[in-house]
Amino acid sequence: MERLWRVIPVVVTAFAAAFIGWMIQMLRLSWTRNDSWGFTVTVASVVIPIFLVFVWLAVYVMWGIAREGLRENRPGDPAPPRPRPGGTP
Amino acid sequence: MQTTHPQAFDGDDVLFAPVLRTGRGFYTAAVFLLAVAAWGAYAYTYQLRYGLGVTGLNRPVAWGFYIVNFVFFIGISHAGTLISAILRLCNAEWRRPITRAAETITVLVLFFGLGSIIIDLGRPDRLFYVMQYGRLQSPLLWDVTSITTYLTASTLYLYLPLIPDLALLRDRARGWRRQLYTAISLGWRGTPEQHRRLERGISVMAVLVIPIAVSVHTVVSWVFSMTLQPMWKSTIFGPYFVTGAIFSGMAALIIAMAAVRRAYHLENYLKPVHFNSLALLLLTMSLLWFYFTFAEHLTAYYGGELAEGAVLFAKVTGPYAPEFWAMVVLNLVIPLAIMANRRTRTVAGIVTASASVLVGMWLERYLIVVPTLANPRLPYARGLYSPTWVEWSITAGAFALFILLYMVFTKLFPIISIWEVREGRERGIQEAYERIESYLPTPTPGTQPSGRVPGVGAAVPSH
Repeated sequence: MERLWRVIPVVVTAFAAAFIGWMIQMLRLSWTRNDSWGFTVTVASVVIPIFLVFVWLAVYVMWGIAREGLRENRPGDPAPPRPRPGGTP
Repeated sequence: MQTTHPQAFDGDDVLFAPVLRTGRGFYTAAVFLLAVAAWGAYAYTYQLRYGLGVTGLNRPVAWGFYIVNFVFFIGISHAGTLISAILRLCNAEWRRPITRAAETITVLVLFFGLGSIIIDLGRPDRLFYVMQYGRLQSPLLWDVTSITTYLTASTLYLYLPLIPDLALLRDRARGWRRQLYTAISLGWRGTPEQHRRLERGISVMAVLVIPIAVSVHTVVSWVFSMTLQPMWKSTIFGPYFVTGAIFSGMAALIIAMAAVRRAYHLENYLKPVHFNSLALLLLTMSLLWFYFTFAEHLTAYYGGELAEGAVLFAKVTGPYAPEFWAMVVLNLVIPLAIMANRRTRTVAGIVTASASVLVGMWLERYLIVVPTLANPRLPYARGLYSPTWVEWSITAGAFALFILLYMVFTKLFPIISIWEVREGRERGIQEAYERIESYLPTPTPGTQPSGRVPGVGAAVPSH
Protein backbone atom coordinates (compact mmCIF):
# COMPACT_ATOMS: atom_id res chain seq x y z
CA MET A 1 0.00 0.00 0.00
CA GLU A 2 2.89 2.36 0.78
CA ARG A 3 3.93 2.23 -2.87
CA LEU A 4 0.64 3.85 -3.81
CA TRP A 5 1.76 6.98 -1.97
CA ARG A 6 4.07 7.65 -4.89
CA VAL A 7 1.31 7.56 -7.49
CA ILE A 8 0.05 11.11 -7.00
CA PRO A 9 3.48 12.84 -7.14
CA VAL A 10 4.33 10.79 -10.22
CA VAL A 11 1.03 11.67 -11.92
CA VAL A 12 1.48 15.39 -11.18
CA THR A 13 5.05 15.32 -12.49
CA ALA A 14 4.03 13.40 -15.62
CA PHE A 15 1.19 15.83 -16.36
CA ALA A 16 3.46 18.84 -15.88
CA ALA A 17 6.07 17.24 -18.13
CA ALA A 18 3.43 16.57 -20.81
CA PHE A 19 2.25 20.18 -20.68
CA ILE A 20 5.79 21.54 -20.87
CA GLY A 21 6.41 19.14 -23.76
CA TRP A 22 3.36 20.56 -25.54
CA MET A 23 4.66 24.08 -25.03
CA ILE A 24 8.02 23.05 -26.49
CA GLN A 25 6.16 21.54 -29.46
CA MET A 26 4.35 24.89 -29.92
CA LEU A 27 7.69 26.70 -29.83
CA ARG A 28 9.18 24.30 -32.36
CA LEU A 29 6.17 24.63 -34.67
CA SER A 30 6.23 28.39 -34.39
CA TRP A 31 9.98 28.54 -35.12
CA THR A 32 9.99 26.16 -38.10
CA ARG A 33 7.01 27.91 -39.72
CA ASN A 34 8.11 31.41 -38.73
CA ASP A 35 4.60 31.96 -37.39
CA SER A 36 3.66 34.09 -34.34
CA TRP A 37 7.02 33.46 -32.67
CA GLY A 38 6.67 36.42 -30.29
CA PHE A 39 3.31 35.30 -28.92
CA THR A 40 4.52 31.74 -28.50
CA VAL A 41 7.67 32.73 -26.63
CA THR A 42 5.69 35.09 -24.38
CA VAL A 43 3.07 32.50 -23.44
CA ALA A 44 5.64 29.73 -23.02
CA SER A 45 7.88 31.88 -20.84
CA VAL A 46 4.96 32.48 -18.46
CA VAL A 47 3.48 29.00 -18.42
CA ILE A 48 6.58 26.78 -18.31
CA PRO A 49 7.89 28.24 -15.01
CA ILE A 50 4.46 27.76 -13.44
CA PHE A 51 4.47 24.10 -14.39
CA LEU A 52 7.99 23.78 -13.05
CA VAL A 53 6.60 25.00 -9.72
CA PHE A 54 4.06 22.18 -9.92
CA VAL A 55 6.92 19.74 -10.45
CA TRP A 56 8.66 21.19 -7.38
CA LEU A 57 5.41 20.73 -5.48
CA ALA A 58 5.20 17.09 -6.50
CA VAL A 59 8.83 16.37 -5.68
CA TYR A 60 9.53 18.48 -2.62
CA VAL A 61 6.13 18.56 -0.91
CA MET A 62 4.30 15.40 -1.93
CA TRP A 63 7.23 13.04 -2.39
CA GLY A 64 8.84 14.51 0.71
CA ILE A 65 5.74 13.90 2.82
CA ALA A 66 5.46 10.34 1.49
CA ARG A 67 9.16 9.66 2.14
CA GLU A 68 8.80 10.97 5.65
CA GLY A 69 5.82 8.66 6.16
CA LEU A 70 7.85 5.69 4.93
CA ARG A 71 10.79 6.62 7.11
CA GLU A 72 8.61 6.48 10.18
CA ASN A 73 7.51 3.00 9.18
CA ARG A 74 11.00 1.57 8.68
CA PRO A 75 11.61 -1.43 10.98
CA GLY A 76 14.31 -0.88 13.56
CA ASP A 77 13.66 2.83 13.79
CA PRO A 78 13.06 4.22 17.22
CA ALA A 79 9.39 4.30 18.06
CA PRO A 80 7.80 7.34 16.44
CA PRO A 81 5.98 9.86 18.54
CA ARG A 82 2.31 9.21 19.03
CA PRO A 83 0.76 9.84 15.59
CA ARG A 84 -1.17 13.07 15.47
CA PRO A 85 -2.71 13.05 12.02
CA GLY A 86 -3.97 16.50 11.36
CA GLY A 87 -2.63 17.81 14.61
CA THR A 88 -0.05 20.51 14.85
CA PRO A 89 3.52 19.53 15.62
CA MET B 1 -23.99 1.61 6.56
CA GLN B 2 -21.27 1.47 9.23
CA THR B 3 -17.84 2.01 7.72
CA THR B 4 -15.91 3.10 10.75
CA HIS B 5 -13.89 1.68 13.55
CA PRO B 6 -15.85 1.51 16.76
CA GLN B 7 -13.37 3.96 18.30
CA ALA B 8 -14.92 7.06 19.72
CA PHE B 9 -14.81 10.22 17.67
CA ASP B 10 -13.43 13.38 19.11
CA GLY B 11 -15.18 16.71 19.38
CA ASP B 12 -15.37 17.21 15.63
CA ASP B 13 -17.26 14.00 14.89
CA VAL B 14 -20.00 15.96 13.15
CA LEU B 15 -17.44 16.75 10.45
CA PHE B 16 -16.70 13.04 9.88
CA ALA B 17 -20.34 12.04 9.91
CA PRO B 18 -21.24 13.09 6.33
CA VAL B 19 -18.27 11.11 5.01
CA LEU B 20 -18.83 7.96 6.95
CA ARG B 21 -22.63 7.77 7.03
CA THR B 22 -25.11 8.43 4.23
CA GLY B 23 -28.80 9.02 4.70
CA ARG B 24 -31.78 8.46 2.44
CA GLY B 25 -32.02 12.13 1.51
CA PHE B 26 -28.68 11.97 -0.25
CA TYR B 27 -29.74 9.07 -2.45
CA THR B 28 -33.08 10.71 -3.30
CA ALA B 29 -31.36 13.92 -4.37
CA ALA B 30 -28.67 11.98 -6.22
CA VAL B 31 -31.21 9.99 -8.24
CA PHE B 32 -33.06 13.15 -9.23
CA LEU B 33 -29.87 14.96 -10.24
CA LEU B 34 -28.62 11.92 -12.10
CA ALA B 35 -31.88 11.77 -14.05
CA VAL B 36 -31.53 15.43 -15.09
CA ALA B 37 -27.87 14.86 -16.02
CA ALA B 38 -28.84 11.77 -18.05
CA TRP B 39 -31.42 13.84 -19.92
CA GLY B 40 -28.71 16.40 -20.66
CA ALA B 41 -26.42 13.61 -21.89
CA TYR B 42 -29.18 12.38 -24.19
CA ALA B 43 -29.59 15.90 -25.60
CA TYR B 44 -25.85 16.06 -26.24
CA THR B 45 -25.80 12.74 -28.08
CA TYR B 46 -28.73 14.04 -30.14
CA GLN B 47 -26.69 17.13 -30.97
CA LEU B 48 -23.66 15.01 -31.84
CA ARG B 49 -25.76 12.89 -34.15
CA TYR B 50 -27.58 15.66 -36.01
CA GLY B 51 -25.09 18.50 -35.66
CA LEU B 52 -25.34 22.02 -34.28
CA GLY B 53 -28.38 22.62 -36.51
CA VAL B 54 -30.54 21.26 -33.70
CA THR B 55 -29.56 24.25 -31.54
CA GLY B 56 -30.74 27.83 -31.86
CA LEU B 57 -27.30 28.91 -33.07
CA ASN B 58 -27.43 30.61 -36.43
CA ARG B 59 -25.73 33.23 -38.54
CA PRO B 60 -24.78 35.75 -37.16
CA VAL B 61 -25.44 34.43 -33.59
CA ALA B 62 -22.83 31.68 -33.61
CA TRP B 63 -22.37 31.65 -29.82
CA GLY B 64 -25.26 30.98 -27.48
CA PHE B 65 -25.97 29.13 -24.26
CA TYR B 66 -22.79 27.06 -24.35
CA ILE B 67 -20.46 30.05 -24.44
CA VAL B 68 -22.65 31.83 -21.86
CA ASN B 69 -22.28 28.78 -19.63
CA PHE B 70 -18.55 28.68 -20.29
CA VAL B 71 -18.07 32.29 -19.13
CA PHE B 72 -20.45 31.76 -16.21
CA PHE B 73 -18.77 28.57 -14.98
CA ILE B 74 -15.29 30.00 -15.29
CA GLY B 75 -16.54 32.99 -13.31
CA ILE B 76 -17.98 30.79 -10.58
CA SER B 77 -14.61 29.09 -10.31
CA HIS B 78 -13.25 32.27 -8.78
CA ALA B 79 -15.27 31.41 -5.70
CA GLY B 80 -12.79 29.10 -4.37
CA THR B 81 -9.20 29.37 -5.05
CA LEU B 82 -9.05 33.13 -5.30
CA ILE B 83 -11.15 33.88 -2.23
CA SER B 84 -9.55 31.10 -0.25
CA ALA B 85 -6.01 32.17 -1.22
CA ILE B 86 -6.62 35.83 -0.44
CA LEU B 87 -8.15 35.05 2.94
CA ARG B 88 -5.30 32.62 3.72
CA LEU B 89 -2.62 35.14 2.83
CA CYS B 90 -4.40 37.83 4.85
CA ASN B 91 -4.50 35.49 7.86
CA ALA B 92 -8.26 35.96 8.07
CA GLU B 93 -9.05 33.50 10.84
CA TRP B 94 -12.72 33.22 9.87
CA ARG B 95 -11.67 31.56 6.63
CA ARG B 96 -10.91 28.21 8.25
CA PRO B 97 -14.33 26.50 7.94
CA ILE B 98 -15.08 27.86 4.46
CA THR B 99 -11.92 27.34 2.39
CA ARG B 100 -12.53 23.69 1.47
CA ALA B 101 -16.10 24.37 0.29
CA ALA B 102 -14.78 27.19 -1.87
CA GLU B 103 -11.83 25.29 -3.36
CA THR B 104 -14.08 22.35 -4.24
CA ILE B 105 -16.40 24.61 -6.23
CA THR B 106 -13.43 25.88 -8.20
CA VAL B 107 -12.10 22.50 -9.24
CA LEU B 108 -15.46 20.95 -10.12
CA VAL B 109 -16.87 23.92 -11.96
CA LEU B 110 -13.77 24.31 -14.11
CA PHE B 111 -14.51 20.94 -15.70
CA PHE B 112 -17.90 22.27 -16.72
CA GLY B 113 -16.33 25.43 -18.11
CA LEU B 114 -14.02 23.36 -20.28
CA GLY B 115 -16.87 20.97 -21.09
CA SER B 116 -19.04 23.85 -22.34
CA ILE B 117 -16.42 24.64 -24.97
CA ILE B 118 -16.30 21.05 -26.12
CA ILE B 119 -20.11 20.95 -26.31
CA ASP B 120 -20.04 24.11 -28.40
CA LEU B 121 -17.87 22.36 -30.99
CA GLY B 122 -19.79 20.74 -33.80
CA ARG B 123 -16.90 18.32 -34.27
CA PRO B 124 -15.32 17.74 -30.86
CA ASP B 125 -12.94 15.18 -32.37
CA ARG B 126 -11.13 18.09 -34.01
CA LEU B 127 -10.15 19.40 -30.58
CA PHE B 128 -6.89 17.49 -30.92
CA TYR B 129 -5.92 19.77 -33.79
CA VAL B 130 -5.50 22.46 -31.15
CA MET B 131 -2.85 20.31 -29.52
CA GLN B 132 -1.15 19.45 -32.79
CA TYR B 133 -1.33 22.65 -34.78
CA GLY B 134 -2.35 25.36 -32.32
CA ARG B 135 -1.18 28.93 -32.88
CA LEU B 136 -0.54 30.89 -29.73
CA GLN B 137 -1.48 34.07 -31.55
CA SER B 138 -5.13 33.21 -30.93
CA PRO B 139 -6.81 34.30 -27.67
CA LEU B 140 -8.75 31.03 -27.85
CA LEU B 141 -5.50 29.14 -27.36
CA TRP B 142 -4.51 31.51 -24.54
CA ASP B 143 -7.75 30.34 -22.94
CA VAL B 144 -6.83 26.68 -23.35
CA THR B 145 -3.43 27.37 -21.79
CA SER B 146 -4.62 29.52 -18.90
CA ILE B 147 -7.57 27.33 -17.96
CA THR B 148 -5.44 24.18 -17.98
CA THR B 149 -2.93 25.95 -15.76
CA TYR B 150 -5.69 27.17 -13.45
CA LEU B 151 -7.32 23.74 -13.24
CA THR B 152 -3.99 22.12 -12.34
CA ALA B 153 -3.17 24.80 -9.78
CA SER B 154 -6.64 24.66 -8.22
CA THR B 155 -6.60 20.87 -7.99
CA LEU B 156 -3.24 20.95 -6.22
CA TYR B 157 -4.43 23.78 -4.00
CA LEU B 158 -7.46 21.71 -3.04
CA TYR B 159 -5.44 18.54 -2.52
CA LEU B 160 -2.61 19.85 -0.35
CA PRO B 161 -4.72 21.06 2.61
CA LEU B 162 -6.75 17.86 2.27
CA ILE B 163 -3.82 15.57 3.12
CA PRO B 164 -4.01 15.79 6.95
CA ASP B 165 -7.77 15.24 6.83
CA LEU B 166 -7.28 12.21 4.60
CA ALA B 167 -5.02 10.79 7.29
CA LEU B 168 -7.70 11.40 9.90
CA LEU B 169 -10.18 9.51 7.75
CA ARG B 170 -7.66 6.74 7.05
CA ASP B 171 -7.43 6.10 10.78
CA ARG B 172 -11.21 5.86 11.10
CA ALA B 173 -12.52 4.25 7.91
CA ARG B 174 -12.75 0.60 6.95
CA GLY B 175 -12.81 -1.41 3.75
CA TRP B 176 -12.24 0.28 0.39
CA ARG B 177 -12.40 3.70 1.98
CA ARG B 178 -9.48 2.89 4.22
CA GLN B 179 -7.46 1.74 1.21
CA LEU B 180 -8.39 4.87 -0.72
CA TYR B 181 -7.46 7.24 2.10
CA THR B 182 -4.26 5.34 2.80
CA ALA B 183 -3.21 5.66 -0.82
CA ILE B 184 -3.90 9.38 -1.16
CA SER B 185 -2.89 10.58 2.30
CA LEU B 186 0.79 10.08 1.38
CA GLY B 187 1.61 8.44 4.68
CA TRP B 188 0.77 11.56 6.64
CA ARG B 189 1.58 11.28 10.34
CA GLY B 190 1.69 14.89 11.32
CA THR B 191 5.45 14.94 11.96
CA PRO B 192 7.14 18.35 12.12
CA GLU B 193 8.94 17.71 8.83
CA GLN B 194 5.70 16.79 7.07
CA HIS B 195 4.02 19.90 8.46
CA ARG B 196 6.93 22.06 7.35
CA ARG B 197 6.77 20.76 3.78
CA LEU B 198 3.00 20.95 3.60
CA GLU B 199 2.78 24.51 4.91
CA ARG B 200 5.50 25.60 2.53
CA GLY B 201 3.64 24.05 -0.40
CA ILE B 202 0.33 25.65 0.61
CA SER B 203 1.98 29.06 1.01
CA VAL B 204 3.62 28.89 -2.42
CA MET B 205 0.36 27.79 -4.05
CA ALA B 206 -1.65 30.50 -2.27
CA VAL B 207 0.65 33.13 -3.76
CA LEU B 208 0.80 31.52 -7.19
CA VAL B 209 -2.88 30.86 -7.62
CA ILE B 210 -4.00 34.49 -7.29
CA PRO B 211 -2.33 35.82 -10.47
CA ILE B 212 -3.32 32.63 -12.29
CA ALA B 213 -6.97 33.10 -11.30
CA VAL B 214 -6.98 36.77 -12.28
CA SER B 215 -5.30 36.00 -15.59
CA VAL B 216 -7.82 33.27 -16.42
CA HIS B 217 -10.84 35.51 -16.42
CA THR B 218 -8.91 38.32 -18.03
CA VAL B 219 -8.04 35.96 -20.86
CA VAL B 220 -11.69 34.89 -21.08
CA SER B 221 -12.61 38.56 -21.50
CA TRP B 222 -9.94 38.94 -24.20
CA VAL B 223 -11.72 36.31 -26.29
CA PHE B 224 -14.35 39.03 -26.71
CA SER B 225 -12.41 42.27 -26.40
CA MET B 226 -9.69 41.35 -28.90
CA THR B 227 -12.34 41.52 -31.63
CA LEU B 228 -13.81 44.67 -33.19
CA GLN B 229 -17.38 43.74 -32.31
CA PRO B 230 -19.54 46.52 -30.81
CA MET B 231 -19.55 46.61 -26.98
CA TRP B 232 -16.89 43.91 -26.87
CA LYS B 233 -13.85 45.95 -27.80
CA SER B 234 -13.29 47.55 -24.43
CA THR B 235 -10.21 48.11 -22.31
CA ILE B 236 -12.13 47.55 -19.07
CA PHE B 237 -13.39 44.11 -20.08
CA GLY B 238 -10.58 42.37 -18.17
CA PRO B 239 -11.28 43.90 -14.75
CA TYR B 240 -15.03 43.91 -15.50
CA PHE B 241 -14.96 40.15 -16.05
CA VAL B 242 -12.77 39.51 -13.01
CA THR B 243 -15.11 41.57 -10.83
CA GLY B 244 -18.14 39.72 -12.16
CA ALA B 245 -16.36 36.41 -11.63
CA ILE B 246 -15.55 37.10 -7.98
CA PHE B 247 -19.07 38.44 -7.50
CA SER B 248 -20.77 35.31 -8.86
CA GLY B 249 -18.20 33.06 -7.21
CA MET B 250 -18.96 34.47 -3.78
CA ALA B 251 -22.68 33.99 -4.35
CA ALA B 252 -22.09 30.36 -5.31
CA LEU B 253 -19.91 29.84 -2.24
CA ILE B 254 -22.57 31.25 0.09
CA ILE B 255 -25.22 28.96 -1.38
CA ALA B 256 -22.94 25.93 -1.13
CA MET B 257 -22.11 26.79 2.49
CA ALA B 258 -25.78 27.18 3.36
CA ALA B 259 -26.61 23.85 1.69
CA VAL B 260 -23.95 21.80 3.52
CA ARG B 261 -24.69 23.63 6.76
CA ARG B 262 -28.32 22.60 6.59
CA ALA B 263 -27.80 19.11 5.19
CA TYR B 264 -25.01 18.09 7.58
CA HIS B 265 -25.98 20.13 10.65
CA LEU B 266 -22.82 22.23 10.61
CA GLU B 267 -24.35 25.26 12.35
CA ASN B 268 -21.58 25.19 14.93
CA TYR B 269 -18.91 25.55 12.21
CA LEU B 270 -20.56 27.71 9.56
CA LYS B 271 -21.86 30.43 11.81
CA PRO B 272 -23.85 33.57 10.97
CA VAL B 273 -20.61 35.54 11.33
CA HIS B 274 -19.14 33.69 8.34
CA PHE B 275 -22.19 34.47 6.24
CA ASN B 276 -22.14 38.06 7.44
CA SER B 277 -18.49 38.53 6.49
CA LEU B 278 -19.08 37.07 3.03
CA ALA B 279 -22.25 39.14 2.65
CA LEU B 280 -20.32 42.35 3.22
CA LEU B 281 -17.80 41.27 0.59
CA LEU B 282 -20.66 40.37 -1.75
CA LEU B 283 -22.22 43.79 -1.19
CA THR B 284 -18.91 45.45 -2.06
CA MET B 285 -18.63 43.37 -5.22
CA SER B 286 -22.22 44.24 -6.15
CA LEU B 287 -21.41 47.94 -6.04
CA LEU B 288 -18.15 47.41 -7.90
CA TRP B 289 -19.95 45.37 -10.54
CA PHE B 290 -22.52 48.15 -10.98
CA TYR B 291 -19.75 50.72 -11.32
CA PHE B 292 -18.15 48.77 -14.17
CA THR B 293 -21.52 48.08 -15.83
CA PHE B 294 -22.47 51.75 -15.65
CA ALA B 295 -19.10 52.86 -17.03
CA GLU B 296 -19.29 50.34 -19.85
CA HIS B 297 -22.77 51.33 -20.95
CA LEU B 298 -22.35 55.09 -20.47
CA THR B 299 -19.24 55.09 -22.65
CA ALA B 300 -21.10 53.24 -25.39
CA TYR B 301 -24.03 55.66 -25.16
CA TYR B 302 -21.97 58.86 -25.07
CA GLY B 303 -19.73 57.78 -27.94
CA GLY B 304 -22.74 57.70 -30.23
CA GLU B 305 -21.15 55.12 -32.50
CA LEU B 306 -23.87 53.51 -34.63
CA ALA B 307 -22.91 49.85 -34.20
CA GLU B 308 -22.45 50.21 -30.44
CA GLY B 309 -25.71 52.15 -30.18
CA ALA B 310 -27.58 49.33 -31.89
CA VAL B 311 -26.33 46.83 -29.30
CA LEU B 312 -26.87 49.21 -26.40
CA PHE B 313 -30.46 50.03 -27.32
CA ALA B 314 -31.22 46.39 -28.10
CA LYS B 315 -30.26 45.73 -24.49
CA VAL B 316 -31.82 48.70 -22.73
CA THR B 317 -35.06 49.24 -24.67
CA GLY B 318 -35.08 46.54 -27.36
CA PRO B 319 -35.68 42.81 -27.46
CA TYR B 320 -33.21 42.14 -24.60
CA ALA B 321 -34.67 44.78 -22.25
CA PRO B 322 -36.46 42.28 -19.95
CA GLU B 323 -33.21 40.38 -19.40
CA PHE B 324 -31.23 43.60 -18.98
CA TRP B 325 -33.47 45.14 -16.33
CA ALA B 326 -33.88 41.81 -14.61
CA MET B 327 -30.09 41.66 -14.43
CA VAL B 328 -29.91 45.11 -12.80
CA VAL B 329 -32.58 44.20 -10.25
CA LEU B 330 -31.04 40.80 -9.45
CA ASN B 331 -27.43 41.97 -9.26
CA LEU B 332 -27.86 45.34 -7.61
CA VAL B 333 -31.30 46.17 -6.23
CA ILE B 334 -32.06 42.92 -4.41
CA PRO B 335 -28.56 42.37 -2.93
CA LEU B 336 -28.38 46.02 -1.90
CA ALA B 337 -31.83 45.96 -0.31
CA ILE B 338 -31.10 42.79 1.65
CA MET B 339 -27.47 43.16 2.62
CA ALA B 340 -27.26 46.87 3.37
CA ASN B 341 -29.85 46.38 6.09
CA ARG B 342 -28.62 44.68 9.23
CA ARG B 343 -32.08 43.30 10.02
CA THR B 344 -32.41 41.49 6.69
CA ARG B 345 -28.76 40.40 6.59
CA THR B 346 -29.61 37.05 8.13
CA VAL B 347 -28.44 33.69 6.78
CA ALA B 348 -31.73 33.26 4.90
CA GLY B 349 -31.55 36.80 3.56
CA ILE B 350 -27.93 36.38 2.44
CA VAL B 351 -28.73 33.12 0.67
CA THR B 352 -31.69 34.79 -1.09
CA ALA B 353 -29.44 37.62 -2.24
CA SER B 354 -26.82 35.13 -3.42
CA ALA B 355 -29.36 33.16 -5.45
CA SER B 356 -30.47 36.43 -6.98
CA VAL B 357 -26.87 37.28 -7.88
CA LEU B 358 -26.27 33.87 -9.47
CA VAL B 359 -29.27 34.26 -11.79
CA GLY B 360 -28.38 37.88 -12.47
CA MET B 361 -24.79 37.06 -13.36
CA TRP B 362 -25.88 34.31 -15.74
CA LEU B 363 -28.10 36.90 -17.44
CA GLU B 364 -25.17 39.31 -17.53
CA ARG B 365 -23.06 36.74 -19.39
CA TYR B 366 -25.98 36.15 -21.77
CA LEU B 367 -26.26 39.89 -22.41
CA ILE B 368 -22.57 40.16 -23.16
CA VAL B 369 -22.52 37.29 -25.65
CA VAL B 370 -25.79 37.35 -27.56
CA PRO B 371 -26.87 40.98 -28.32
CA THR B 372 -23.47 41.85 -29.82
CA LEU B 373 -23.52 38.84 -32.13
CA ALA B 374 -27.14 39.57 -33.07
CA ASN B 375 -26.18 43.14 -34.05
CA PRO B 376 -22.82 42.74 -35.79
CA ARG B 377 -20.64 45.59 -36.96
CA LEU B 378 -20.26 44.17 -40.47
CA PRO B 379 -23.23 44.55 -42.83
CA TYR B 380 -24.81 41.19 -42.12
CA ALA B 381 -28.51 40.84 -41.49
CA ARG B 382 -29.30 41.25 -37.81
CA GLY B 383 -30.32 38.08 -36.07
CA LEU B 384 -32.17 36.77 -33.07
CA TYR B 385 -31.30 33.85 -30.88
CA SER B 386 -33.80 31.45 -29.45
CA PRO B 387 -32.37 28.42 -27.65
CA THR B 388 -33.91 25.03 -28.36
CA TRP B 389 -34.74 22.16 -26.00
CA VAL B 390 -31.27 20.73 -26.70
CA GLU B 391 -29.51 23.76 -25.23
CA TRP B 392 -31.90 24.01 -22.28
CA SER B 393 -31.46 20.29 -21.57
CA ILE B 394 -27.67 20.34 -21.78
CA THR B 395 -27.55 23.42 -19.56
CA ALA B 396 -29.85 21.83 -16.98
CA GLY B 397 -27.82 18.62 -17.16
CA ALA B 398 -24.56 20.48 -16.59
CA PHE B 399 -25.91 22.26 -13.51
CA ALA B 400 -27.39 19.03 -12.14
CA LEU B 401 -24.16 17.13 -12.69
CA PHE B 402 -22.16 19.85 -10.97
CA ILE B 403 -24.42 19.74 -7.91
CA LEU B 404 -24.27 15.94 -7.90
CA LEU B 405 -20.47 15.88 -8.06
CA TYR B 406 -20.30 18.43 -5.25
CA MET B 407 -22.56 16.20 -3.15
CA VAL B 408 -20.42 13.16 -3.94
CA PHE B 409 -17.31 15.10 -2.92
CA THR B 410 -18.86 15.84 0.47
CA LYS B 411 -19.43 12.10 0.85
CA LEU B 412 -15.81 11.24 0.13
CA PHE B 413 -13.96 14.09 1.83
CA PRO B 414 -14.68 16.44 4.75
CA ILE B 415 -16.19 19.63 3.36
CA ILE B 416 -14.73 21.55 6.29
CA SER B 417 -11.01 21.40 6.84
CA ILE B 418 -10.80 19.61 10.17
CA TRP B 419 -7.10 20.10 10.84
CA GLU B 420 -7.28 23.79 10.01
CA VAL B 421 -10.21 24.29 12.38
CA ARG B 422 -8.25 22.51 15.10
CA GLU B 423 -5.17 24.52 14.33
CA GLY B 424 -7.28 27.65 14.63
CA ARG B 425 -8.40 26.57 18.09
CA GLU B 426 -4.88 25.68 19.19
CA ARG B 427 -2.86 28.49 17.67
CA GLY B 428 -5.14 30.94 15.88
CA ILE B 429 -6.43 32.87 18.87
CA GLN B 430 -2.97 33.52 20.25
CA GLU B 431 -1.55 34.38 16.82
CA ALA B 432 -4.43 36.76 16.11
CA TYR B 433 -3.89 38.46 19.46
CA GLU B 434 -0.15 38.80 18.87
CA ARG B 435 -0.77 40.14 15.37
CA ILE B 436 -3.23 42.76 16.59
CA GLU B 437 -0.86 43.68 19.39
CA SER B 438 1.90 44.18 16.82
CA TYR B 439 -0.26 46.71 14.92
CA LEU B 440 -0.78 48.91 17.96
CA PRO B 441 1.66 51.49 19.28
CA THR B 442 3.83 50.22 22.11
CA PRO B 443 2.28 51.42 25.40
CA THR B 444 4.29 53.57 27.72
CA PRO B 445 5.67 51.33 30.49
CA GLY B 446 3.47 51.30 33.52
CA THR B 447 0.31 52.57 31.82
CA GLN B 448 -1.05 49.32 30.40
CA PRO B 449 -0.68 45.86 31.90
CA SER B 450 0.82 43.44 29.41
CA GLY B 451 -1.53 40.72 28.13
CA ARG B 452 -4.71 42.67 28.74
CA VAL B 453 -7.11 44.01 26.19
CA PRO B 454 -7.19 47.83 26.50
CA GLY B 455 -10.47 49.13 27.80
CA VAL B 456 -11.74 45.70 28.69
CA GLY B 457 -9.42 44.56 31.36
CA ALA B 458 -9.86 40.89 30.57
CA ALA B 459 -6.73 38.84 30.25
CA VAL B 460 -6.19 37.18 26.89
CA PRO B 461 -5.95 33.43 27.34
CA SER B 462 -2.45 32.14 26.91
CA HIS B 463 -1.77 28.91 24.98
